[in-house]
Amino acid sequence: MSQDNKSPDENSGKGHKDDDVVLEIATPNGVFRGTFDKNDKVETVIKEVVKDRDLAEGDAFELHYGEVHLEPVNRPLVSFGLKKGRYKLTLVATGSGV
Amino acid sequence: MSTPAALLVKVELYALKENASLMGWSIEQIDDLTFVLGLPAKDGLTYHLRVRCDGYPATPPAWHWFNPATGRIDNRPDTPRGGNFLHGNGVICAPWNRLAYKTVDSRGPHSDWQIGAWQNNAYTRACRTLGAMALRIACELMKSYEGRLAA
Repeated sequence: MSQDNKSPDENSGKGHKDDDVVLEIATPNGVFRGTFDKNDKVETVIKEVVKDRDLAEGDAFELHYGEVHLEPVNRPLVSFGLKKGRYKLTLVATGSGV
Repeated sequence: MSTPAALLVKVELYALKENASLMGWSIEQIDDLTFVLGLPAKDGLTYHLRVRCDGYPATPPAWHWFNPATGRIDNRPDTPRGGNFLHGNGVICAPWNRLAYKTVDSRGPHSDWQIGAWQNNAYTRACRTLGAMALRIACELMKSYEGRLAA
C-alpha cells in the first residue's frame, strides 16, 4: 500500500501498476487517500486507514462501497469488483439501530 | 468568546466538510453550534438534517430531519424510515442522538438510557464524533432505508 493523502490527480501518471486500486475513503477523521493492490484484503485496508487517520485501533469499523458492505474482510478488494481504477468508499463505525 | 462546544464543533466539522466534499453531500454551517447536512438515500432522494450541538459533548447533538425549503424540522414527510435506526417514531435511534431520549423528546424510544453517559453507552461504539455519526447515517440511508415516513 502506498499512502498518499492528497488529490488522486496528483498521483496520476506516477507509475501506477495494472493491479493498483486508488481509494478515496471518507472516515470519521476526514478523507484518506491511498493506493492498494487489488489483491489486498479489506482488513488490510481498514487497518491502514485506521492507523493513518489516527482512529482508535480498538474501535470496530466497516468499509462500504455505495450500498455494498465489503465483508467478509478477509476477501481481497478485487473480489468486490474493485480492480484497477479509482473508487470512493466510506469507513463507518459499526452499530445500527437499537 | 467561543464556548467549548463551539470549539469542538469547529474542529469536528472540518473532517465532516472534507467528507462531504468527497461524497457530494451538502453541508452548511448555520452558526457556531448548528449545521445542515444533506445525504442521499438509495432511491436517489436527498434527506436533510438540521443538527444542533449546544452542550456537546456533555450531551449528544440533536439530529433533526429537516426540510430546507420550508424550514420545518421533524416533519414526517421529510423523514426517512427503515429498521430500528431510522425509527418509525421519526427519530434516529442511537445513543448519540439527543432525540432518542424520551426525557428530551416524547418520540424518543429510550427511557432506559442516561443522556449524560451517551459516550459510554455500549451502543454508541465508535460514533463519538460528528464525522462518525454522519457516516453512520449515510450508511443507513443506503442499507436500511425503506422510504419516507409519510407520503
